[in-house]
Amino acid sequence: MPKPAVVVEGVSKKFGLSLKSALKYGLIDSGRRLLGKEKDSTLRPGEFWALNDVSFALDPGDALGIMGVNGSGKTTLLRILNGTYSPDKGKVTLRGRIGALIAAGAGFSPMLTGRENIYISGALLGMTPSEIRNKFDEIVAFADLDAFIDMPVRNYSSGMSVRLGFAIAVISAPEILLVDEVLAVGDMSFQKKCFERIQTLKREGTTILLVSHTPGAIWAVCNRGLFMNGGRVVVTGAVENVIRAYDDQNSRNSVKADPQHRQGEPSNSKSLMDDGATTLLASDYGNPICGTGDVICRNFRVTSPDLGNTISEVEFLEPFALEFDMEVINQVEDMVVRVVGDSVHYRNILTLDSYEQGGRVERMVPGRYTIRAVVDNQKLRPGAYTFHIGVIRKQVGIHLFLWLKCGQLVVLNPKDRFLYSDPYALIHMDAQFTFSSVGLAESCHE
Amino acid sequence: MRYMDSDGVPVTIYQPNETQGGIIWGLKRAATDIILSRHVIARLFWRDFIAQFRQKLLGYFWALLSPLLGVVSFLFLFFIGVLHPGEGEIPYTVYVMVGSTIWGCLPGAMGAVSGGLQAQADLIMRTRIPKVALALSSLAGLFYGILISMVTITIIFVATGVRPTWWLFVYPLLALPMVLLGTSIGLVLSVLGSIARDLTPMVTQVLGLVMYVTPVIYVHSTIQNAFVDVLISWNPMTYLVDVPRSLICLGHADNTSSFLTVAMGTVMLVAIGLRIFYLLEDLVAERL
Repeated sequence: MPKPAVVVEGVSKKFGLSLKSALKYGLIDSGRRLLGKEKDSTLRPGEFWALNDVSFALDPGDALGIMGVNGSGKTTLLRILNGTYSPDKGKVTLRGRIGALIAAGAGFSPMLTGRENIYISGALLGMTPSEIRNKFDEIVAFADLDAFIDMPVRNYSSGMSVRLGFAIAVISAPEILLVDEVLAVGDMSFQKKCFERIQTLKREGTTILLVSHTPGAIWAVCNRGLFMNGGRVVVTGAVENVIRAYDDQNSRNSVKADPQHRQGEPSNSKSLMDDGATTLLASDYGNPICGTGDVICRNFRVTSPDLGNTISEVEFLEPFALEFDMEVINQVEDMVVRVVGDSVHYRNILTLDSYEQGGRVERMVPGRYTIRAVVDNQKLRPGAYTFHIGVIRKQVGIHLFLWLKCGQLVVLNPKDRFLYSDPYALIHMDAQFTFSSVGLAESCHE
Repeated sequence: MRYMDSDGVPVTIYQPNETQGGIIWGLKRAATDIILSRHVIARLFWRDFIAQFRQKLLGYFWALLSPLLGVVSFLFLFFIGVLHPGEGEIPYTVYVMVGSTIWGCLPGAMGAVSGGLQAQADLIMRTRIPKVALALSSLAGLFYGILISMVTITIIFVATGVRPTWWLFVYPLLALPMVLLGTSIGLVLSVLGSIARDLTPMVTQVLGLVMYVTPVIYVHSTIQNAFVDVLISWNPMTYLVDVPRSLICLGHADNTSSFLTVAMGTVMLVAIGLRIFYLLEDLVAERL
């Protein structure tokens, strides 16, 4: 049985929250160490765990995809593995020559030629001059820069620079490769070459640790995954599970991070409801809540159709209901109630209109009502969705009431299938694929 | 910690408090780090050297000219009669040129080493080069400057009609204690200066003042004030400037034993500087 290439045991790393605390603790820590004392491994006021008790092990040839939203600790982990940061707790053991592919092409000296920069970057990656000489032609051929290798790098296009940087890093063939977001660079054919080279390294036994926000890249390369949040490992194991967890966390975060949503609800609705002061309702468009004062809606909620309880997340294809309370102050004829939905990337991706759905309301007399729209066959792909309420009268071309971003919903990734193909796609439709041969290429007959 | 296991595979271990050890441990670790990264140090030196002179009008002539420009202000003050450095055996132009070039090794080494890590922040974050190698690789430029200033000093000797002694050939060795002193201060500042950013400018200012209690631009024997005279005598840097200058210009010097004692002290200071550097080096990357 091969010895593990990478073993990370209970690694933690803390940082100061502000420059002031970093200066204070920097001086205190310096004093402690100069007096021969060990690191203070406790969390002090003004500090936070950027990495908290992280453990995993990788065998030679394993490829680990590390995912997490910004600030989750994945770059800190990579920097500890690269020896840039020292851990505050725990231990990292790496067996084999380590290569780091972090910001390929950055750090080139612009005044020097491509040839000169190959020698410098090769040395920075730990190659000896003879190793660089032996691999020089291979690097130039991989980067496809034969004609430009004696040109100053400052005259290179950005694509040429990153191609050269990537070529140097991958041709050095390390036993452990740390990659930060730069798995493939350049145009489409060069990116294909990058992926093929990474796969070759894997087959040859290189252990790869890839930090990326791109599920497609992680899925293409990695056989294992690590999902981090708040410095901790939340999900580890099959790469598909990790991508699902990352995607769901992104959806949750986009709901939390929407400032207009927080502004629109619930504080405004509460003041309207409690005070009964319809004069507080803005009468101009451009406000999160506005209207004529004839109708006021409150307490928008997404609920479970069966149980009736308020929910913020639904499973993939799980039915949900949208509910809100309505107070009719002045009688409304031919009322139409409409809920419009946005996704993170697009506006108005769905509309549930009471008239379109066959629910005609000829007259609404003053009083309090609850409106409920049940969506039985929802086909939304995983992601975050935002809702807006509009109340109109068929004969009047303006809103009697409009409430933007009154509620949000997260559709989670399914456990039984892997929806990875396009983060911008919104609707899932089942389809049957067939692959019928209509003539094979000649090379396949031989 | 890095070692080869029984299968001949390099093993790297990172854990807290790895850098606990004595002064000798620090020296051994530095030697290992420098040997391991000798190719990188050489390449970085070569890169900086080439890039420095490319696309410049005067090209390599800059290297010869810059030591001379450093003493222009003192020579100007001397020749218009404002500066009275006192009478000595050595012509003032040669005296101030040699003295300030040797003194320049102190702030030069200190600045190069202390700023070495900050200047190479990108490499610290992206690569696995030992930080001590990055700090010390900046010194390569200083050694190159020392060699160039030998040529400049020779030109000054010829221009003033003074015949230099054979000691000029070992000028780099004579200036080495000053470089070591600057390196030791620079090593401490490179780590502490990244925590408290105003520390390096403060020490640079202090060094500027210390130069005036060192006989760099004046002759020690002409000082009348008893307190300043004692201060200059007790200032170890007096011997690091005076003895090499006298040897180069006159072929003999007083206080050579004091020079050797202080030189030994600078070796000890580098060892202590390295120890402090290794104790605190991991705090640097967190603050870049």
